Amino acid sequence: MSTSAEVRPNGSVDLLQPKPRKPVIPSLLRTRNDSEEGHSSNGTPASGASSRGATPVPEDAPPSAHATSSARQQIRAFHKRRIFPTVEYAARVSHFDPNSDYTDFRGFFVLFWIGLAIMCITAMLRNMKETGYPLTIRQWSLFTENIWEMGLSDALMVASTAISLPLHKMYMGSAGALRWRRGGIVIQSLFQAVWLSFWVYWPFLRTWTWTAQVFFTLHLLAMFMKMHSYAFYSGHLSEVRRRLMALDEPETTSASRAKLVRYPSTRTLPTSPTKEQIGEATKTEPAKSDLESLREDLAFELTSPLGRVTYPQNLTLYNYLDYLFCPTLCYELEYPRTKGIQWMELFYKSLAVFGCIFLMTVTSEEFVIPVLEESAPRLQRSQTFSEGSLILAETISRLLFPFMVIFLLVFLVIFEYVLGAFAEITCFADRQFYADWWNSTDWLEFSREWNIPVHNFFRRHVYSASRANLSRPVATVITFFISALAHELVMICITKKFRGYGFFAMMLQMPIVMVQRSKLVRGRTLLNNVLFWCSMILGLSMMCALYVLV
Amino acid sequence: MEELSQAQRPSLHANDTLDRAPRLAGQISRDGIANLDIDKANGNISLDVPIGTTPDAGSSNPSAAESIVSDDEDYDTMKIDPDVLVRAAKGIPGRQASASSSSSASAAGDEKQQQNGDARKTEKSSSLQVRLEKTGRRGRYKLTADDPQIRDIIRRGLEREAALDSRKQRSRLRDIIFTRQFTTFDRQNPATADSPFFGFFTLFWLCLIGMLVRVAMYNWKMYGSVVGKQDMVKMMFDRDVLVLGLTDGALCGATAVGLGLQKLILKGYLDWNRSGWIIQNIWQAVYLAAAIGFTQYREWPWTHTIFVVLHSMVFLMKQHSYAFYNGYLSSLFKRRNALEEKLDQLEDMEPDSAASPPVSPTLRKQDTSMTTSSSVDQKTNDVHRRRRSSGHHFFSEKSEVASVAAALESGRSLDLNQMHAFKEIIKAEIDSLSEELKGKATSEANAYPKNLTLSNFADWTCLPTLVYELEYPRQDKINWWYVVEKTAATFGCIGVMMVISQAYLYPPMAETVRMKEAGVTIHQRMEEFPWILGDMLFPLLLEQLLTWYVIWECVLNVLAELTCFADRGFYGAWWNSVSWDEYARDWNRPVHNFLLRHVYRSSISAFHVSKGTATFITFFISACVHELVMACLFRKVRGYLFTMQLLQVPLVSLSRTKLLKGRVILGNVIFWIGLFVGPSFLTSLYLIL
Repeated sequence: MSTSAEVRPNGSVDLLQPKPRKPVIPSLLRTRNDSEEGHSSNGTPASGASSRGATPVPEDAPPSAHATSSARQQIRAFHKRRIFPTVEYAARVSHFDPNSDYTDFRGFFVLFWIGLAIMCITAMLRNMKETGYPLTIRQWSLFTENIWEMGLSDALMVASTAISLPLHKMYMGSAGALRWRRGGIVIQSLFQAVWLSFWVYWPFLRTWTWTAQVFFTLHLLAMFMKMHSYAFYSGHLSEVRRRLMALDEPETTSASRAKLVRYPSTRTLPTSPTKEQIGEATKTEPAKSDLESLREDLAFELTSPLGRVTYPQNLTLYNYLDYLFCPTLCYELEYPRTKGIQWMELFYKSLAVFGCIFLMTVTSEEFVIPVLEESAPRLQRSQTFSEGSLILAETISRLLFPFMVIFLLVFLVIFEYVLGAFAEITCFADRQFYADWWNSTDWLEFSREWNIPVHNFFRRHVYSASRANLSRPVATVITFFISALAHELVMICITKKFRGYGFFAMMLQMPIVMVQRSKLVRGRTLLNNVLFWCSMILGLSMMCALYVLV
Repeated sequence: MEELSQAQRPSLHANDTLDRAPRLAGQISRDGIANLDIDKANGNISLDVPIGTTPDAGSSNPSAAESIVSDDEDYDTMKIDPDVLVRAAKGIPGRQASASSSSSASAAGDEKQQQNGDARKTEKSSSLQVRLEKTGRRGRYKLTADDPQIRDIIRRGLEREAALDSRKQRSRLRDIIFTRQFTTFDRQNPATADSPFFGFFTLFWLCLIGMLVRVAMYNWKMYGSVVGKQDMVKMMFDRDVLVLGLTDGALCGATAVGLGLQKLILKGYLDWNRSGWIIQNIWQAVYLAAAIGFTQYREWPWTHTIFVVLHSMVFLMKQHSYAFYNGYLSSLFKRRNALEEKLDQLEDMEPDSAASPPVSPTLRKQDTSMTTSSSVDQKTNDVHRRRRSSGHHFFSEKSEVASVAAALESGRSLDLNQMHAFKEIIKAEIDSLSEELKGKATSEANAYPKNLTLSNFADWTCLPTLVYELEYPRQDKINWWYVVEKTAATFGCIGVMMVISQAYLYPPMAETVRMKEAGVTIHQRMEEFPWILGDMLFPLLLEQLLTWYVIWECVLNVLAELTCFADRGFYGAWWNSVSWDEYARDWNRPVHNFLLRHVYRSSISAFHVSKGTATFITFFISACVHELVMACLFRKVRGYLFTMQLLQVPLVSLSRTKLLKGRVILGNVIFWIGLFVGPSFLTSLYLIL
């Protein structure tokens, strides 16, 4: 979904609406993209399927042939890909944004909130009647106990990521063993590993409450990804810059003249062959023009997509801080921005964040904790396996609704309100933090759509990085594996138990996706959507019951 | 469409009098026909008509006619496809406005809508009294119109002309348009299939299934069986199920009285405007009273009662619409017959004098255009027709008509051209009458008197609409899979509703009953009120949503599919409503259309009330009916719902103030809170007090 819009080369900020549901046939998607990009002009396949060094047009060819050829070249130049996989940012709104076009069913969104509010009010009234207090937040101590220590640690953790900046300046400055491709990448990886293990272990060492630890760990993971993206993209750019500088004295140095630019591969058709043209020998173009174009390509790589920043200019503390606050995990030299901060929007979003957290607290207080407290001793007393599993099943069924609500609230609070608030603060224009995951038909689609920042990070820094050496399915499995590990880590933080249920369930999705892609169920959107939601609802409450009780 | 209708709601009172012919103008009665005060003392206007018209003036050569037609818009190519009508209505507002004349009296939609005859003041005679007296001189006749209707016709001719003359922008009462469309939650609707929030619809149903599973597990634990206690089922199916079916059949059969009445009216035993509408109203009152009385007499459980009462009200509205539309058409039919007779008389009166003067070319042109328009217009709707006919005829004839009117007023004799114009006016009137008699029908085969058949009536009884028309857009075939799917959905939803009421609603209700029987004081019971309310909030909201879904999405769609009814606009996007009037318009479109046509517009034309008053009357009647249903349900008259509904009127005007206008989300929030809390609040009130 992130490819739904091309970055406007001039950086114009007309807001893009989220797409409606995906067409069932991928070829449809492609044609739509093509027509959007407007290069299905004269029927010639302009997708860059031919090699770059196109057959030169003879001098005596009719003018129409010349025109076609130059048009092709222009379009190719427009679609020139960077060698480092890029994330296309554009000014976009999310589905639930007030400016979104999708207002057909807004009433039901309002109903959702009113339902939650009324649920809270009745719960509070009932508490008043029974205990005399509207709310007895037993979890309150969970929130307050380690708050100062946690805040301090968090600030330190974030600050410590900034070490990447001087480290990078070191890689860039050094010509020998410390340059990025030799020692730099090793040093950076070591640093990140140490950094990650230290900060993950820190809360265990200090025995924080689970809320503080979960918050810290999630923030830690986000910061880790940010730092990784920053370091590796900048490292790559430093290498590119080095090559560009080397080209200034082409005779003296043995600079690699391998071609840089990749052409857009059709991502939507998995069966089509990849059209990477790296290193393809050019037969027809003269050597000088080869050098020229290589220089151009390298310079293009060093320039931001919007064309206002070039590589070494960005290595400032201010830029790094700005990047830390931007709601994205992929470092780019420049992002599309809005004109200014809308303070009312910011206020509403912050209010919504606290409102959602309050609602979640009430829900768990009223509907989750009592169930678990009631079931735990019964399960301990149960003798036979069947009795235990019955109690477990009952617990799961009672947790279905609360977890559904909590899941939706977590989604909304993170992806609509927290990220939206940060986007508002930093004037970040691309608000597409999620796509229509609720229409998903399988788990892969869901994981692509429900968390677009992390998805972009994985696609850019894990999947594409492993694609260099590995085949497509293996790269997918690796991506999934890493993601499952991260989720298991969060579960460990919450429950302080190492069980691996979550890991197992996530890895189980792979064969399930294979089954869903088989002919039998493929294309049955409604059925697959029902199955997806069933697994989602059941899975969440099952995870909770299993981790807490077993 | 809503914007369109709002934009076109006319200001009726502005043009009630006609400036061009002040002495002839008078009040406009509710069928859109003016009731003229004959303020000229004698009332008889004698006209000296020099008779010299050629008999063949009316029928002229068709080739000339075609050439004229081709200059104008070509309606021959236009099929009476409702989509086209809608598009035309949307697409060319300016033209539409020009089509409508300056006064409501001649507006097509007006006459079409206002078919009520109740409390009609004008006593219209069905025969026209136009006397042609031979004067002393040969070839000169004296036309005496001692009937207001003749003036009326003349007046309308003037109005047509005035409209063309002034080209005034004027809105016209919009007719209820039937199109081909799907409901929002229908899977056939492409907009729904591509909706970005489709997944949440799935989630809703999955949550309901999850709820059913939970209830089943609870029942199993408590009672040892999945179904648990079955108080609701027992209540619903314990007794009188067969009697209920028979009653419903009898109610349905009894509606055929309306057909009989219309037949009698057609045959002339009764007159709709005199006795017909009174009989119809009495019959309707008796019908409703009998239905309600029977439910009370049998002491049925509330489920039986509510079903019979609501169904009888549906039948009542159907009968009302059928009777009043056909009654109106019957009066038109009589008038047309009388006019035709008169026209024949006029033609016969033509002098057979050999020296018929040569027809002037302009005259010939008028005549040809007249015939052309009448033939072409059979394929267009009446709006276009009127515009066309007037455009062709009266534009060129303007001075003629004016002179006829002037002659009529002043009592001068008519010359040849004026006499001719007079005839043309009558012809135009006949044409417009037959066009109205055809209504929405595409062919003469379905025009007024031919629709009074049993098959048409049975068809109408089954159609999922409450507004009678001679013809509706239909689809070609029945998709039986769709019928099966929706039928299954109907029964599934009803099952879910029964489970919800048994599991979540029955316990608090039983508790209130127990408290009352135990003699708990009202004060103590009121203390329980918030808890009962809280218990019922969520289940009642679900029940409400499901009831709405079952009726407006499932049942009506099944009916529509079975009858090939193509217009599935049973509801609008009421969940996005920002005010209560929007909700009232959107959530129940069939009844809304009925109220719009038979209450709102009828009251405007019948009692000459302002729009605001008409809205209030509509709200009031609706509130009365709702209170009646509540009274049947709880067997007490408390008026809570009535009060709350009438409170909506000031609330609506509040929502139009600056404070709330334009705040869509806030308005929607207020609306949902009302919808959420309202039903449970009412139910608790009725149960506890």
